[in-house]
Amino acid sequence: MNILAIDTSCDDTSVAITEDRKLLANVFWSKIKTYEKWGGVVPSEAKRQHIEFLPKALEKAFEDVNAALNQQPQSKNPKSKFTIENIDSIAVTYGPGLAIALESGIQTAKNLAKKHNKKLIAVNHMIGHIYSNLVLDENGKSYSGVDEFEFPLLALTISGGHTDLYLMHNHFDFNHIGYTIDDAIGETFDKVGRMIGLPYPAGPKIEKLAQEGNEDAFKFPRPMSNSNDYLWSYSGLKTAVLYTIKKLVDEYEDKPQKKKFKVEDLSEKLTDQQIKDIAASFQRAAVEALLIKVKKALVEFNPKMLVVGGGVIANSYLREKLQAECEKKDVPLYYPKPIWLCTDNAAMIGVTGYYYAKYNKFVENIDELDRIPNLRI
Amino acid sequence: MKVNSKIVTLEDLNKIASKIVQTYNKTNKILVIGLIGDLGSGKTTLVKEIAKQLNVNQPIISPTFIIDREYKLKNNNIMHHIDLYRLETETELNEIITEGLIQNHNLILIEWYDRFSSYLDKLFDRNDVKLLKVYFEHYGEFERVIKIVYENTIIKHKPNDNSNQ
Repeated sequence: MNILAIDTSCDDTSVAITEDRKLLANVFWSKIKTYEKWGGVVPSEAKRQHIEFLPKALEKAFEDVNAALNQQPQSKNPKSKFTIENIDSIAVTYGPGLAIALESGIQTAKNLAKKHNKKLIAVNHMIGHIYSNLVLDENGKSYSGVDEFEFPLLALTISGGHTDLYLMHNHFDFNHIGYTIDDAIGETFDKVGRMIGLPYPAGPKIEKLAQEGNEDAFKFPRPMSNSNDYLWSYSGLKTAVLYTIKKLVDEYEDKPQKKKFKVEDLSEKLTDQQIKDIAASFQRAAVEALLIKVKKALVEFNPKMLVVGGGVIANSYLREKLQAECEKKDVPLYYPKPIWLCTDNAAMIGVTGYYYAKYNKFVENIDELDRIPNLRI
Repeated sequence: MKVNSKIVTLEDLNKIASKIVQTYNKTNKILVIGLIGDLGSGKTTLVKEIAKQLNVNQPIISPTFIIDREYKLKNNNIMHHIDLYRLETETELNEIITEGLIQNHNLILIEWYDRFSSYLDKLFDRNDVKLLKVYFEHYGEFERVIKIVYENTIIKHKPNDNSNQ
């Protein structure tokens, strides 16, 4: 089954073409040029210009498929082109995400589906992150190492905007057991990074600094560690780091400090080593807070596997700790190896769409499909 | 302009939220609230308290990455919780704060409003919008200084405008 997939859930415009679980084409139109293998990346000053970028991204996706086909040694018919006629269904993210962004993708998908008489599949972006683990490359090799989902499984999605834990007993049988009640883990890395003077996006830089810091230098709280549930709260950790920085800065001043302060003034007064120590101690607290609940879930549900989606898996400190926990419980850990497959992308939407189709979950009335920005599983 | 400034603790926040909810219930305009303050100064915490008093039963999670979160209120009105922390240009802002958003008896809460104050002040300078700004400052681990500024349209009174406050 060939699927044309579109994701415009927030910042990036992304289009993919998939054949069952295999990825044939993958195009991103994004401000940050980070993806090398898939040549469809165009750096641009504008973000979220989805309506403008989509037609170009769609064209590029088909071009890429044709280029790949023409390279095959025995192309059956060099003149036959892969076009939308070869597509079986259109898959599009309809939520969760930024409403105005989602609308662009949905509008384009609807138009294509109606014009070319194709079925439409409305995909939940969070399910997409979980199923990113099932994407295969064009040669059929798994990007994550997962052969097939084995149930029951635990799925963890960790990104700038999400921190969620799901228990699955079967495809599309989800239990949303854990989530953050305030800030997402990725966002917290970013904000703490700002507190120690790092420019946006600060998250990835914390990991680097932490490598030269002492993670025992400061004891930050692990919020919700004692709550008998799978909820997280990172906002308190953020404030604890802030006030620790304030105390540190106060200790170095001669005069009694004014109570009012500005965050951006604080980081200037920290030494390099203090910054590294704060980064390391914070990272340790943030990861431990995450793992306390993951450990609990591994014990309670005894899953066959733990799959992870979302960009924060790029943090190798977090990955190692997570891997260690999983090994202790003899549960295999899987996550997509390329970062582009962990952050927002249409490739995962295409493969998720394939599963939606297998379970006959198509949009019944195309005209009525609407974005659902707060969509949950 | 009416200005109220006080040192508050977390417990006092519900009183501030209450005042804002009263303003929302009393006006027939769109209520826009600019939330201005540093990281960790209490902006989202106030939004949570306002949402609680408006009986929103979904958890209010940070909109930093998603930029705009919507919550249903009574009478089909919508509460938009917007966060401009990640936006860099007015072009981006334009895409988010659309005409469609500034309609109906909606409640629009905008964190980091000060990143685009002059643009937004002009955008919201209209008869069907009531603009209110809440300023947050750190004052200690459990205390903040909060100042509420009611942007009074009477000050920018236009001829033939007989709208009530």
